[in-house]
Amino acid sequence: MSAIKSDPRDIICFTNNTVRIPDVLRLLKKGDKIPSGKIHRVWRILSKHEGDKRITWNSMSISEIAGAEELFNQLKAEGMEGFCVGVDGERSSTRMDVFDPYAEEVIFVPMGAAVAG
Amino acid sequence: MDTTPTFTWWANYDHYTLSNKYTICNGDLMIGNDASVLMQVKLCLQQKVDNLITSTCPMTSGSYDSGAYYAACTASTSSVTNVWTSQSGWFMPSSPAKRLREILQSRMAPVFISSRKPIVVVADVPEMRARETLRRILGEKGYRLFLKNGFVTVRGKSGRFYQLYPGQKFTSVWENGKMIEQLCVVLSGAFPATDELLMRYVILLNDENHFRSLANKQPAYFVQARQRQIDLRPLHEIFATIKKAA
Repeated sequence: MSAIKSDPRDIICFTNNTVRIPDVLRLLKKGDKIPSGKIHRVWRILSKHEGDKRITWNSMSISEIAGAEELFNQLKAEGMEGFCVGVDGERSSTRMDVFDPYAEEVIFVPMGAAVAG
Repeated sequence: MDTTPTFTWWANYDHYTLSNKYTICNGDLMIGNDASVLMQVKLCLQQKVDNLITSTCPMTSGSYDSGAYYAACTASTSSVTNVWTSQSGWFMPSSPAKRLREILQSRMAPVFISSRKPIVVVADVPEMRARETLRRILGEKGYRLFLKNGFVTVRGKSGRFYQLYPGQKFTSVWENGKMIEQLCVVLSGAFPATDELLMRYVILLNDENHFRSLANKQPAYFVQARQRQIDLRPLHEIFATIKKAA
């Protein structure tokens, strides 16, 4: 699969619309490690062409929470659903219908693109 | 024009051990997919006929199997009259006893049933990133199993097991040790193969019924058809059937 060049902070949704990641949120690049500790939240957004985008933010920072909520609402408007998942083999997945700053690990799935094959 | 010599020969094919005598005429063409078999044929023919020229070369076109080798008797008339091949379906031993011997031989061989296709290393950045995410979700043990088997197994709330494969492959549903159906849910658009698996994984864990409602379902008749090919009847029954048919 060939990656289409675009701004790294832009998420290409399945509708071909782009959602801009707020500047207060940190976008993890190749080789960046996920910050350890309970205060950091990790979001993975399945993005067309580029694979998933990994975003991390500090749940103790008001500005970052606001940025995360803004992003959540934009993604939801584009048909992306957030699933709070268990990590390291803990098999759980809970749909995040409203923004939850306590959700530690979230995967955003383009539900509108999930179709019968 | 040469008179057509007729002779008999014995050959061991790779699939069939034959002891019947076959009459080979000038102009005959023998086809096999194993060069060593044809070497035997060539030797056999050269011992019998002095002016016989045989050749072995890959076939690139024609009505026969591509890539097969042939040995032709060129000292003949130009018309090719008979064709033999070691491919099943073309050349079958005639007697029921030989057919039964074949079945006995095949039953003694171990049967390997493998649906496992290990995941290969890729240099595609989106795919690598998707695998990192999967590794994080599954944990080290689960991810190692995924690399080994090529699929992820999830148990739904109904008790059924789902085998999830990367890419746009069917999801196999197992119940009581049997595959009961195959479901197809894909992501439309250019998403990495492992992201598609991730999508199925999170939806399935969240709501099995929703996953099933999204899917295109088909019964696992492909697998059942494969199982039917292995004739598990007692040998005397098989022998009676093929004897009747012969």
